[in-house]
Amino acid sequence: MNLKPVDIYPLINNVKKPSQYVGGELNSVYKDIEKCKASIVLAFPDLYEIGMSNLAIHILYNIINNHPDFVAERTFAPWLDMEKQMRKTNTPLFSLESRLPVKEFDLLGFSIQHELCFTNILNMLNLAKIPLRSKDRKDEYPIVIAGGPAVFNPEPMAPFIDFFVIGDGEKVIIEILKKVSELKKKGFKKTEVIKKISRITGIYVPDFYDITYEVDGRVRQIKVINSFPTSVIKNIIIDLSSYNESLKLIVPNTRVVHDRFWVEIMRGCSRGCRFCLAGSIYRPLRERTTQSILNSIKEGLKETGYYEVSLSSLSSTDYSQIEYLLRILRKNLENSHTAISLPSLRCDAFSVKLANFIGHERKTGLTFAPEAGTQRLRNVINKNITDEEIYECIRVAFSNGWEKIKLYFMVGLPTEEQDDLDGIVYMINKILKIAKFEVSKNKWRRVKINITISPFCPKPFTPFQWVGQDSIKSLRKKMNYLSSRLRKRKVFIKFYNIGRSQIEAILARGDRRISKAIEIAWEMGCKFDNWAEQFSYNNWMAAFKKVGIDTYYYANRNRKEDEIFPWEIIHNGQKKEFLFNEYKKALNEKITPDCRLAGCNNCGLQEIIKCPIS
Amino acid sequence: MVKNTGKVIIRFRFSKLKDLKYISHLDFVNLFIRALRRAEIPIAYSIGYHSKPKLSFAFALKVGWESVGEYGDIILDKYFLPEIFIKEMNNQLPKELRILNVKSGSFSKSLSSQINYAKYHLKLSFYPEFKKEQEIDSLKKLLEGKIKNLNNQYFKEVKYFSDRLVDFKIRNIHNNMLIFSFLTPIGSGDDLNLDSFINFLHLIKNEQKFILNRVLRVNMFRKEGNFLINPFSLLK
Repeated sequence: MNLKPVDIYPLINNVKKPSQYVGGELNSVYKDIEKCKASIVLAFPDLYEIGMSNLAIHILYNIINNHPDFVAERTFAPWLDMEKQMRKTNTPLFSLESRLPVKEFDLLGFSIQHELCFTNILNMLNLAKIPLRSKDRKDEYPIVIAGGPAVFNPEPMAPFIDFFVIGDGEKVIIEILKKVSELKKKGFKKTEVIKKISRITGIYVPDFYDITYEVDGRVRQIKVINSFPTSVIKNIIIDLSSYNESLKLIVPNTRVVHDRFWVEIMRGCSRGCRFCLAGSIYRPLRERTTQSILNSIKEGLKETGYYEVSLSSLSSTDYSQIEYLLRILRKNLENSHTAISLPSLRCDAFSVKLANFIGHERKTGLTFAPEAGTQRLRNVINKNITDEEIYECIRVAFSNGWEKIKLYFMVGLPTEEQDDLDGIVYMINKILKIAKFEVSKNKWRRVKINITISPFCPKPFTPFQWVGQDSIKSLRKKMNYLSSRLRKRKVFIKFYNIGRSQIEAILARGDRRISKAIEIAWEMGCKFDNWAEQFSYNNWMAAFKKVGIDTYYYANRNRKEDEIFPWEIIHNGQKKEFLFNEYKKALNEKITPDCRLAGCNNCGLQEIIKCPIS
Repeated sequence: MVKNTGKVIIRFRFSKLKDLKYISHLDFVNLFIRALRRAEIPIAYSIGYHSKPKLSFAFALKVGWESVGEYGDIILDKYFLPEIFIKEMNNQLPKELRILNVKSGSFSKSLSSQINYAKYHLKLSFYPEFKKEQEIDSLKKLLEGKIKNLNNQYFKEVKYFSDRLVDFKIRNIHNNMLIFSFLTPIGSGDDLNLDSFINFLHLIKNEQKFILNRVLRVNMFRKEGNFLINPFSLLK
């Protein structure tokens, strides 16, 4: 095999940020793929600056390249100007390290973080000159796989992906590569390779399942072909420390969204917010040991030279040893001019005190997510913070010198009423009063309350998977109302695009029938849908219309309790009955306490693994 | 080897070549700071809310341009042997970025206030190739402002460029590849706008197309009269 790298130089002279296509970063690994037993391109379906801020890519890259037999390289979605050059010169999508066409690798693995990157995946397949649909890909093409949070409902992308990897990827990726190399050596055809791989835990092969529908469109049955698993249980790594301690982050040569040393301190969340997909799919909650975290940071900063370290998790202040960890870390990093960053703060005074403790040199801003304006609605969504806690948190923030507060809210939540919208207005007014009281006159001019308001989007595997999204008309009315009532000095509001949220709602709970619409949307030019300037609501609607997709059916319809969901083939751990019970509790405004503090809630996880909490 | 003698300035010359030419100046500064930290160079930091390493560079290099004559200053907390600085930094930097030379001192004005000239090589490929040596010669004369009965249309532009192209030379590598070599002011408001220069070349060479293959900044100087002073000599 005589593999020829792509000549990128004629392409990148006239594009924005050419450095994103060049590779050669510190800690990037180059191996001769012809000397490796199996090879994979880790593909992130967004720009380099977004993908390189995603820890999963670094983790998988390290694990695979640390293995002597395997190689992982990376590829990202090229921006429009680069894509134009590539198409003009017939240059295929290439990997960063060896610049080989991605078609030459054994596996092409997409990390799907959210639904709005589906069209980017199709675009990248097309640029790679790989047929979009699995059934059209013969043996000469790589096996196309996908993982990440958005594959827990794999159905909308089922025709395009050979198999999905559900759950944690650290262990299973090596199992997959081992299988590929073993079967490649024996001369197995691709279909046989996929069949053998399907026996590995957490692998979902759409081809092995047939879905039939009722006349009204609901799923009638998910039928398993032959003896394949009737349920695909997600992969769970219990001991995070064993995989991530010696992580060597690739250090980009160009600015990326999160340009700092990341260390994952915890995976999962036990708070049980009912709207939250991440809180559901990343269960159970697992912590890394403090020693492992400290070792990672010590080695990692030495290896990379970063001057900011960020403690990553869904809710960092919930880490059981957080105070101890921060104390040791601050001591270790004293005089090293290294900042500590604590994102994902809970909206409570404790979090602010921690933020203060790590001594942010410049107190620019803090971000919190109350999500709803009244206690009643927060009970519905199980966001267990009280008004008093929120106000105390804000008071502590301003009194300790913070000047900018960012707040996230949602509209269109289940059972939402006018009082709840007024609750947001009331809360902001109260926050302004607190700020006026706590902030000195000479700092008052710098005070800013930034608010982001997003439409609620129901997600699979959450208690709200039965709920229809609020209509566009209603959401628009609510947002206009809030816009008029929050027109105040010091308050700056951003509204998430309603149309984009509707598309997200359709795709998040879509089935295989949606896939044709995704393909047509891409053909009509949809890509980078998560980028405001690129998103085209009209093209999406036209695509749905062309295929005869009823958008109301997918986005706005309330589901019945016994409805079979297209994603039910995936076993996330939490029982459907538990989730429905949570849904009923939501409608009755009843809360479910944090299982770590109040004891196991019997969500179902304990039936598939030894849950660290139960 | 390491002596605590107060403020120490290390002035260094470095190259930025090949793939690294695609990195912007700001990204390059970040890359350099990280390398300094990995090499455990005892950098001094500014005080205040947002302390930054005391590091400065002469002039930003445009994305797409290469250089073997870039300069930077770094202030250290402690004395550090210049040879060790070169070795430790080159161990940490990508191979396309090399520290070439170093000098330590204790006092200097800023590089950007001292340096006022830069030398460039431009490599151009012409299509179709030049048929005669005289064509290259007349192009040279034109750019040097030596052609008297010039079409008025180009007079101002030629004057603008020839005033700023000092010691202009054309080297003929092949019949279709030329290297333009010249000194030009930098940082003073009198700078030669290389993009305008290239556009102008397109204008006057309309019987041939050309491609700018490479822009290389060769070195930077302080020009006083007819003398070119190396930035290292300006460090006390």
